[in-house]
Amino acid sequence: MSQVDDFDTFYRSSRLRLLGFVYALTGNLAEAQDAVQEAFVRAWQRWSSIGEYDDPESWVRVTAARIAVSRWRQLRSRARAYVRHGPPPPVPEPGPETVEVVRALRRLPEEQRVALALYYLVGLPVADVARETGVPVGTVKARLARGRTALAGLLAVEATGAADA
Amino acid sequence: MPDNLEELANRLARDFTTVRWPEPGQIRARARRRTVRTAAGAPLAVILVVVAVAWALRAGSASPSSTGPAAGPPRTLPATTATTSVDDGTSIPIDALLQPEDVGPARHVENEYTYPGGVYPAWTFSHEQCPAYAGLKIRAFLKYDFMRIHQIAPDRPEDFDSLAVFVEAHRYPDDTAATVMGDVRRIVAACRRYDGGPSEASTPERPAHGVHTLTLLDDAFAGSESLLIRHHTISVDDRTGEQVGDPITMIYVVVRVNDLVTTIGRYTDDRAAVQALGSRAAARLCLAANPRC
Repeated sequence: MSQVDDFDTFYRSSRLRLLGFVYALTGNLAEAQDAVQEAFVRAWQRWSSIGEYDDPESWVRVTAARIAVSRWRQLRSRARAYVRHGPPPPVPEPGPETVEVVRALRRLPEEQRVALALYYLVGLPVADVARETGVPVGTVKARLARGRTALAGLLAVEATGAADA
Repeated sequence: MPDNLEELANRLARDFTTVRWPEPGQIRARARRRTVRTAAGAPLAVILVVVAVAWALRAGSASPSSTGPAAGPPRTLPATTATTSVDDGTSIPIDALLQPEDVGPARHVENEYTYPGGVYPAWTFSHEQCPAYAGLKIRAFLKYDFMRIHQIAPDRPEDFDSLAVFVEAHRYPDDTAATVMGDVRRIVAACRRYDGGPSEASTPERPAHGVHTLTLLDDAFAGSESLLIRHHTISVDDRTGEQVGDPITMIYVVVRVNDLVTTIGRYTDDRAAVQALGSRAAARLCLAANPRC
């Protein structure tokens, strides 16, 4: 398979999974999609190396997450994007249940949010989550447990609030 | 409870099936165009490579997993986020940053992140499109020892754009924090008004460019040093000179307390509201500043 075919297959097969991961981290679908596309652009620029990696998706995932967080934090990004491109094109809104869970995820501490997203949304085993986040396996397990408990609490509060409204 | 997350994975796959993606050839073309532009801008690229290598070297010495992906393909995979697990005396506790109770009721902290020194290359005042910016040779902000960021969001998501407050704090070595404050002043003075650049602003249907205005509104009202800055952006039609769409205004307050600098931003034109946040932020920085106050 040529490098082009290799990249195109990789792009088509992994983009949705990567979008879900970055969206869970940031809660903004348009930003997430932009970050994922930018990460693929950077991946193609280095494809002769990245294409040889055992797991090129990990590289794109890390890159996309950093771009997304960076953009989220780049306070001028919205202004810059606006004057570059005009109002953003309509992006299909995720369903209300999706928005509710992602909103709760965003309220978790960083390390718990990332661990939950990698484990449940990307589907990485605990050992791979540990490798990608640079912490021991036991720490990942603890973060997953604490994150699950905290998320359950947040969703329960939201459900109670909705019932009371 | 894992049901929520397992269901979420399924729902995301379902919800996102209608997302439109560029064809792979378009992604590759974007990469090619950028490569050509990079070659054309070689002198700038050389500077960026030098800076990137410096980051990589610093990151490499600080943590084996913190090499930034933008610096080139890593031999070992960088961590998805940069979290410090060991307190070497430079970290900043979350309570030292502005908190929801400082802002108002029905708010919460979200998207919190921490970064050890040398990992995060951007900062709020990177106005690279300003023609004078490069000549200022702004570098001090890169020397931070520790960085913590989060945003304070309203509980009602529909209020996010008007009420969200973006918060970051850096700890700097020696006298660097004072240099950073001086750099912010220099940027605001040199980039008082600039065009965002026609090539970046243009679209085929409506060629336009951004016009940015930076204004120092006040200073010396909190902490060791403080600045209140307004960033106003409009989009101007290249052909008619008329403004396109609504302007965007953001007010920043930058406060230094000894070796700590916090920057707080909000999309608003209410300078008094943001300035008040600066005073509360100064009191919190005192908890973690070296020396304490």
